[in-house]
Amino acid sequence: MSTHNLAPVDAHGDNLDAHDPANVVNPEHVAHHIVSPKTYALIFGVLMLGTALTVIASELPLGIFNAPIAIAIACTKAVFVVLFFMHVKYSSKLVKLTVSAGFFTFFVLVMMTMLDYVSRAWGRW
Amino acid sequence: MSIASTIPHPPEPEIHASHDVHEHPFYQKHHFETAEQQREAASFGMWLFLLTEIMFFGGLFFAYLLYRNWYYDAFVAASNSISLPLGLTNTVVLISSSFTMAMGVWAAEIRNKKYLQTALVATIVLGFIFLGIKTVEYKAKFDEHHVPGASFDIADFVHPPAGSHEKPLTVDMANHTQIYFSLYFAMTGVHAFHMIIGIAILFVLLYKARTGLYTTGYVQPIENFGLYWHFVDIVWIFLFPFLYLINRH
Repeated sequence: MSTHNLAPVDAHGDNLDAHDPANVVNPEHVAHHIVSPKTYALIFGVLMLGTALTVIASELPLGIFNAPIAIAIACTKAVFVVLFFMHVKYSSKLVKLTVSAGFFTFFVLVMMTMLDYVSRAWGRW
Repeated sequence: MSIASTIPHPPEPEIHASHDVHEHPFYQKHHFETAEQQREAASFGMWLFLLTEIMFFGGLFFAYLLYRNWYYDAFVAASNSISLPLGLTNTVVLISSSFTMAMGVWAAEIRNKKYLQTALVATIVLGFIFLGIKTVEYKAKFDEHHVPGASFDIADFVHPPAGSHEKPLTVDMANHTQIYFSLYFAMTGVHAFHMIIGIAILFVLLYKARTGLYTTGYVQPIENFGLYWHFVDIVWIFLFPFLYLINRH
């Protein structure tokens, strides 16, 4: 590891190059965090585990619970990808808010369409 | 008195304080105060693009949800006709490619050109493996006449082959398997199209990376492409259980 041309980092692994103390525009002063290969490998393991779990769960006779379990596992995997592979955990509040607002908007759209769908008098006209 | 003396001098150009304290990195554009601000703006912009992608794929997922609800038996039978081993293999391949891409971002951060190139090549190779397996799956669907349209054949669903655990569908329900296959080809097709574009961009990044462009602190293009690639991975994380794993037991 010592032979790498490492960017200067502080004790927290934050890249000092990309963090510019002269930056008075961004009040957050988000220091840039380099996610370690160890973290990536761990998340890779979690995703593989999730894939195995979702296949195993699909083979079990769980009735109506098969679908919610599959969706729950998929959502969990997606959250791990977003937080670590896509660095949202280490991003500024602006990015965090943008991402959560986007998913929330999608959720609202799905819910509104579903409410319209389930509240119609199907077969009664 | 000459006219010249009455003409005021133009004001000295304003120089922002940050110009005095340090040189700009070569990749910093002039309309950004700092490299940090530029990076933040780039991430923000990339995420806005990805949110439009969520809405785009979201519409397809929603169509899937409703039709699955309406024609559940057709969806189960059609879903069971596609290959779980191939789908599972592709899931593993795609998650691995996400991992190699993440390692590529790390390599760019620590400014290691060799590692970055290796990671990009690995991602390209895994991307091609995914598309290759997808091609095999598509080929099988064409051979079985399970592609919606004029040559679609409901025989496999009305009269399941001997030894199959599938219950026979009525002709009407069997015809509705075409809705499943339409969504299957639309969703996996658009997903594969995203990967083809991604692989093309990967080649450009790999070509440009050879000069060390991305290993001198200019991580942004690698990082933003990583966001795109991981997003494509997330779409597959949902496609896999929805399309391959309905009622497998």
